[in-house]
Amino acid sequence: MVKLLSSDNEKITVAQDVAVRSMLIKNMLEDIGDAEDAEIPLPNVTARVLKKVIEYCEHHKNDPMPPAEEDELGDERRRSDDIDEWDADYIDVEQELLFEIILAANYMDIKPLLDLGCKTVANMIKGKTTEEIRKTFNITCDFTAEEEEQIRRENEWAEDR
Amino acid sequence: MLDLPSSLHPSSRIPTAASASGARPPHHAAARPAGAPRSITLLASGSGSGSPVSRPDPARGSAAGRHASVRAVSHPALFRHDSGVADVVGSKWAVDRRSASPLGAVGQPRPQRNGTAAALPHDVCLAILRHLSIMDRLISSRVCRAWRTAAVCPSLWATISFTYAVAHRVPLGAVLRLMAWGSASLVHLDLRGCSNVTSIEPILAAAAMFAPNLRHLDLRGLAPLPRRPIVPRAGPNDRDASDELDADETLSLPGTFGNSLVQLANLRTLYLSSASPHLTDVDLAVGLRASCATLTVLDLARLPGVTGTALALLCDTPNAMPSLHTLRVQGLGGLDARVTAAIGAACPALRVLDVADCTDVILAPLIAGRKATALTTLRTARTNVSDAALTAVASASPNLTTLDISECPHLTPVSLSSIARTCPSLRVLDAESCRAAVTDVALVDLAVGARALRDLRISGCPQVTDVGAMAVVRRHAASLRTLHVDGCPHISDALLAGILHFPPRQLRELNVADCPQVSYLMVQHVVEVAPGLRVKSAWATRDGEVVPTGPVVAEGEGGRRRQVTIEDVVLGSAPLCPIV
Repeated sequence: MVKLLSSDNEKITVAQDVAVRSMLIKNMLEDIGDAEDAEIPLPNVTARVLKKVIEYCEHHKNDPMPPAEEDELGDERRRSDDIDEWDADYIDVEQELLFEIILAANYMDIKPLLDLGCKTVANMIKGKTTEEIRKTFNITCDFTAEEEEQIRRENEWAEDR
Repeated sequence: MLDLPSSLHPSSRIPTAASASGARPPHHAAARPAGAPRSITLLASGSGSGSPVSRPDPARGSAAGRHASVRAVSHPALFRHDSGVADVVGSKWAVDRRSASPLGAVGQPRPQRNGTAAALPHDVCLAILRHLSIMDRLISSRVCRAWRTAAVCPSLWATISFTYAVAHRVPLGAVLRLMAWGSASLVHLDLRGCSNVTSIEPILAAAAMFAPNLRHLDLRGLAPLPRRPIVPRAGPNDRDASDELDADETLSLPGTFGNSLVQLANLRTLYLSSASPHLTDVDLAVGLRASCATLTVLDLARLPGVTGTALALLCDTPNAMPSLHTLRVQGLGGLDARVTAAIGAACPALRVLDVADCTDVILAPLIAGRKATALTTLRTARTNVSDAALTAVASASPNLTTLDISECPHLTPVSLSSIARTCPSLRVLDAESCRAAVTDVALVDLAVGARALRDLRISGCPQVTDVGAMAVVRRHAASLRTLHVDGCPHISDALLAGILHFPPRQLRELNVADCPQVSYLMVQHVVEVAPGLRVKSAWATRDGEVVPTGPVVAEGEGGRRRQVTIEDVVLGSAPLCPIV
């Protein structure tokens, strides 16, 4: 068993084979060796998000580990519509939690979960116009008028779908 | 910096993105291989002096700093087709990805909630954009500075290719801009279908400048040959036409393509079929010098300015192209004995050779002095290849699986019988309108010799009868997938009866159109009713018209599509031939 300490000081205990889905934890465990009751602090992850992340790791604990390096050509052919049913259900959360999961997966280095989150966001972007994307994610446009005009001209051909 | 925990954003957790953006040299111009020629001669823009200009050496301008090198990259001569590109590529966007913080929003940070898309670390932005198509990436790049910064990251543009739905809209300027974004990361450039890109010269020049690591370049079909031959310039009366031709010709000086191509020393695959009428032998002989040791696929089909001389120059030493496995030169002139001998000696790994439409190709020297070739696919359609040449090559190619000898008027049954003996792995034989060669005897030999025959297309061969076709069907009942005997006047219902009797269970395609002795009802029976057969598409003639039939729906009255049924055929006055 591995003890994790969330940013809001909640202690969560998980099985080792679940915890090592996170490369961050796996490396830390290797570093500290066999220290049984060592606590692993995760200062960037709240307990709420950590529990959600552990739920994912539990379900995928028997998956083969992802390859360390992405195939250079393969990454362009990645598709974002091949999300399996459990994953789709799991990631169907409010936007704020979705982004927190992505940030946690990035921090804890859980590649498949990061991938799942990014695919989900990509699916939310697909086919939308710039303005719709801003609205969806509540982003304010921080371009100057001149810059905005320049990029608009640059991408004019890509606008009408 | 917004309100992210400081340890979150800069710590990169994505190996590819991190290494790609981190390990890159500061200027993409500086990523060029050391020692490569640096100056590229281009025509000045219309408003300029009109004399050729050279690109300034980026190394010399290093004192001027980053902006100098960006200026050099955006030399107006390269972008004269789209003046807007020079502004954009030369603007601060080109350097933003290095100077800006990962979250963009340089200078005036504005309050944003944690856990929104705008507050994502650069690497996560990249990971998201990686899942989007080029169009969606461009749209996203307009959202805000952070996304823009991510969108111009080179690692995102290792592959540039467009779907057919959008390719025809892509302007040249956009292609050049994306190439500049990708710079040293750009590995794969595929411009098939980009009909707005009518000249490959700026593409090659840009590739030479930005993309020294380009491995796969596909410019197929950017300048398809006109249907009608171009009227040659006659005299002063043809003023308009000659003006047009002049304007066209000024686009390229001789050797321009070669100067650009030679910079691409890492090319693995190069597709240039119908890419430009201005490519010449010199361009290719000079331009592929650097990459011929690594090239695996070379496609030079339908280039009116290129002849076999280019190949002879490239293949001048034995083993000059050791990795080349596919060579496509359809329609190339001047493939004489000297050229084919050079190809044979220089390309020991050649597996696919396509010399279709090279009317006077001399094939035999290809195997001069060698016992065996690695050839698996040979296409000599519409050439004057002789029995002796084809037999010689085939007998040295025991691994041949695909052979296309359609419309080769000089071939006789001797060729086919010999191929049947020497190429036991033959799977695909295209011999459409190979009128003299395809006889019953030849087919029987094939049935016995080519044990793995899968696709047989012998349309328009008047000497074939049911006997020959049936020999193939019986012998290959387990493997036959395609059988085209359309336009063979002696094929009759007897063949279909044979098919019913010895059902070829893999048969998917059956073409018996234009066979006057085949009844439509019989075809229907074979395609729809016969147990154990799963023919997917078939063509037959009914009332003088070729109709698709089978489980595929056929065209009904008034363009409505409906299922053809047996009743239709009976009522449709199909000739009912006695079933043997």
